[in-house]
Parts: sequence; C-alpha cells; structure tokens
Amino acid sequence: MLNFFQLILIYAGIYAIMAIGQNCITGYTGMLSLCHAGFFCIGSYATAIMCKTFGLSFWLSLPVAAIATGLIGLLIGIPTLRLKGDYLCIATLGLGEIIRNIATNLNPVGYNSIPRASLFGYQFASRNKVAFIILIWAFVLIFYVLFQQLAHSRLGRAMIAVREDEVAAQSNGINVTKYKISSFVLGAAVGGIAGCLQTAYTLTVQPGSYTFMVSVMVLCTVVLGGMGNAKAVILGAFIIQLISYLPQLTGLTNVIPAQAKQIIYGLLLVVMMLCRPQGILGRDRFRYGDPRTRREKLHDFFIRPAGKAREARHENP
Amino acid sequence: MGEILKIDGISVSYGSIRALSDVSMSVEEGAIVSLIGANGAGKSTLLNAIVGLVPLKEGSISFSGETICQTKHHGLTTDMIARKGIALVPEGRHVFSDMTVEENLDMGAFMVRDQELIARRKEEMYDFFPILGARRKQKTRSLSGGEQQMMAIARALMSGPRLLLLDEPGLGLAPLIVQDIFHKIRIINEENKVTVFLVEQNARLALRSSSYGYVLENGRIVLQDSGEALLRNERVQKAYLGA
Repeated sequence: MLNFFQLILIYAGIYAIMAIGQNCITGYTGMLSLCHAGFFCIGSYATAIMCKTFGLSFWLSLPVAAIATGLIGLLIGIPTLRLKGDYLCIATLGLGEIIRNIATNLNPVGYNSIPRASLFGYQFASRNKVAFIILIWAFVLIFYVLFQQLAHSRLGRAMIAVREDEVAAQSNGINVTKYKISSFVLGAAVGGIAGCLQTAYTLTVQPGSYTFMVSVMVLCTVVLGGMGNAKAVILGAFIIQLISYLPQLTGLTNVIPAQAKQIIYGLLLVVMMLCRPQGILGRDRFRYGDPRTRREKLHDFFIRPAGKAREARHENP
Repeated sequence: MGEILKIDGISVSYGSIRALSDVSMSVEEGAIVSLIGANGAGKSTLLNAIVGLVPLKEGSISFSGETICQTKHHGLTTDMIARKGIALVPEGRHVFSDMTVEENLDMGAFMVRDQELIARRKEEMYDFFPILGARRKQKTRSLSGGEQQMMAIARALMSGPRLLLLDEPGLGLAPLIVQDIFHKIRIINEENKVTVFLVEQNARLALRSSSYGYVLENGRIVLQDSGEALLRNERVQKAYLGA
C-alpha cells in the first residue's frame, strides 16, 4: 500500500510538471492545445538518446531535452498558433499523434536499460522511490515558483491580456503572435522536462506510453484544478493520479476494469463543467493591487462563491 | 499644422463582399475629425484598417509621413502601429473584464517602461475620470457601460498616443452619458493635444464636436466638409439628423 502511495506521489509530480506547462499554454494564454503527450514524448526520447547513445549524464540531458522540446514547440507553434479555439485544438491533436508515430517508426520497441541518474555520487535506483519523490517534487516546487513569478511579470501580464481580449491586447501594443509562441514554447519545454524525469524513473521509453490519452489527462488536470492557477493544477494532478490508480488502491483490480478510469475522467469533467466550471480552486487573482486582507484572502480561497457574493455586494453598494 | 493621418485610395473586401472602395481622407494634426454613416457603411472597417486589423486590398495609409498600411503583407502589424502612437478604442470597448480598473490602465501602459510616468498618468486619469478613481480596485466587469467606455478611453490614453481612434464611443449609452463622454473627448483634444478621429452614429453630437467630417455610405465617402457645414447640409440633415 505504501508502495502505491509512493508511486502515486511520483506520477502526480510528473503530471503536475506537465500540467504546469499546459497551464502556461491554456490557463495563461488561453490556447486550447492537445499535444502535451507529444512534448512529453520528445523529452523522454531526447533523454533516452542522450543518456544511452551519447553517454551524457542525466543532468546534461535535462537541458538538452528541454531545449529540444522547446525548439519543436517553436516549429509547431509558428504555423499552428494562427489558428484559434477548436481549430488549434485539432491541429495540435494531429501533431501530437505525428510525434508519437515518428517515435514508433524510429524504434518500435523504444529504449531499454538507460543509465541511471546520479547526484553527488548517489544513484537514483527505481526501487528507492523516496529519492525520486524528493527529486521530482523539487522540480515541481521550482516550476511552481517560476510560473507563479511569471504570472505576475510583464510577460505573464501580456499572456493574460492575450487570453482576455486579443484585439484589446494588440491595440495596447502587445505583439500577440510573439507572446502566444513564447507561451507555447515555455509550456512545451516544461512538458519535455517532465518526460526527462519520467525516463530517469522508469529507465525505459516506449512509444506506446505517449498516446492521446496522456494529453487528455494533462488537460483534465488543468481544467479540474483551475485554469491559470499553478496551485490548482498540482492539486488536479493528485486527484487524476488517485483516480487512475483507484482499482489498485481499493484492491478491486478484478472488479473494476482498467478502462473505468476513462469513464470516471469523463464523468468528472461533466460534473465539473456543470457545477464549477472555473475548476476546484478557480483562477488565480492578480497579486498586485489586491486590497483584500489575509483573512479575506483565506476566506475567498476556501469559500470562494460566498466570498464572491460578498465582493459583489461590496462593489455595488 | 500638417496632416497626421493620410488615407490614400484604400479598398477592403471580406471575401467577395466589398466593405470599402477607394476611400481617401486625411486628418489634420490637433483636430477632431468625425466619420458618420449608417450601420454597415464600413465605418468600423475603416478604423480597423487604420490599425492593421483588416488587410487592405488597394491603397495605403500613412501616419505622420510614414506608411503604416499597404496592400497584403507589406503593412505593419497592429501592435507595431500602436507603438507608433495610434491608440484605438474599439467598438464594444473590449475591456479586460477580469482585471481591475487599475490593472486595465497598467495594460494600457504596456509600451511605457517608465514606472513613474505610468503612476503619474494613472493619477491624471483618475483626476480626469473621477469615477474610475473611485472604482480603481474593482473588476471591470462590475462597471456600468458608461464607466467601461471611460475606462477604455483612459486605457488608450495611458500609452500617450498622438492619435486617438474612437469607434462609436456612444454606443448603447444613455444620452447624458454620451454627452459627458463627448465633453471629455473635447477636453482631451484641447488639453492633451491628442488628435481625435471618431466614428459615430450619433451624427449631431459627433459633427458638433468636430472641426471636419466625412460621410460614409456603402463603403464610399460621399460628402466631406467642416463639421458646421455638414450639420447644415440638406442631405446630411435628411439622412442622419432626422430633420
């Protein structure tokens, strides 16, 4: 049982990193992209090839994976980001599949026995899960802080302006294309790093593990937690992983088929859209110029709808 | 003073539908110039063409002597045009409704890097539109239509533009508020030395405030004269002033 919780912690961490990347694209800039499995795949493969074929250490292949994924994100982004909404969604969905097919044709069995990552002489072995939990959650923390800072920076404000209203953003001198592409490349690179970490844990890569379902799960994670809120997507990653390991956790593997999780995801999304479309935690507010006291913030954080009603009364005396 | 905006024989099409044909006009620096016309005459298309939101089929547009829009892909992008000093207050206001008034004004000053200048301009805006000062921490979606329109104008002024383009500033607002907004526009023009080019269906109010006016019908300029002369013009009176 403990073993399972450790596994969930590891995968929740990896998915949290991916979801932070997806959140940058979908939550901040408002682009509905569905190819995070592709970025995950590129990150994993780049790490596998760098570690195995070129004999690079894990720590050197990490930036290589991030840069490779970012570059491919750029290549994909330049033509597709002209599209909007559903069209962008379909185009990126196709591109995610293309990446997976290329990976399959490159090497149908994938790569095995990839050298282990090590830090200060300590080797990260797959059976020592605690070490991986620390490694992966350290990355989650780094990306959480980075993207939290980003949301309140000039770059983040421009992204949010693009999401809110493209015409207004443009007439205020914001280069919409530039910020859309920056956001896409950043999100892709973070997805690549998630792939890199996964490779370090499993030490194998197989093209079969980067299906469209992975992209859907990442998007679900963001929608479930709350778009544009880094804290929320980490919570979402936990919930999604708990659901995906539900049969094993409850010891009912014989009763609940593995496919049941897809039904639960679907149901969860429908219920979320009906009852709480803004996600469990909702959107993150701008930090600067926030007049609320700490108590009010906590109040809004836990009892948001009630807090909103109070805010509305306050605004219209 | 010379002309700040020159539109030279432009045509715009949406697919096979021609929205503007061979439109030429100019805006003198420091003036208020208005463009009047009925629904579907092509007024908004003209403003969108100036800021590069719709591509030109023919002709060119220049801003203080420099060509900003040309046919096909030779023109500048909208954000580049904004950086030249043209601020558009789009039709329907296009406010960032999830942001507060203050954050909206901050977005308006996106091109300005000087924090002190931004703070000073914000204070000026709060003085000029006291209602915005009172509502600075409120989300824009909770503002009334007139307040949102004032905020859209204030946001456009935050970048310190030389030319302010207003697309139907009176749309959907109560007559008294429309008058207040036009009053403010005249003050902006006189005191801040901002040239104003506005598109409006409320022809009487628009022409009264303007030194020069153009009448657009079915994508063509059919009349042009000083604001006063147009107000007396028989054709304008019949079609737009209900006389």
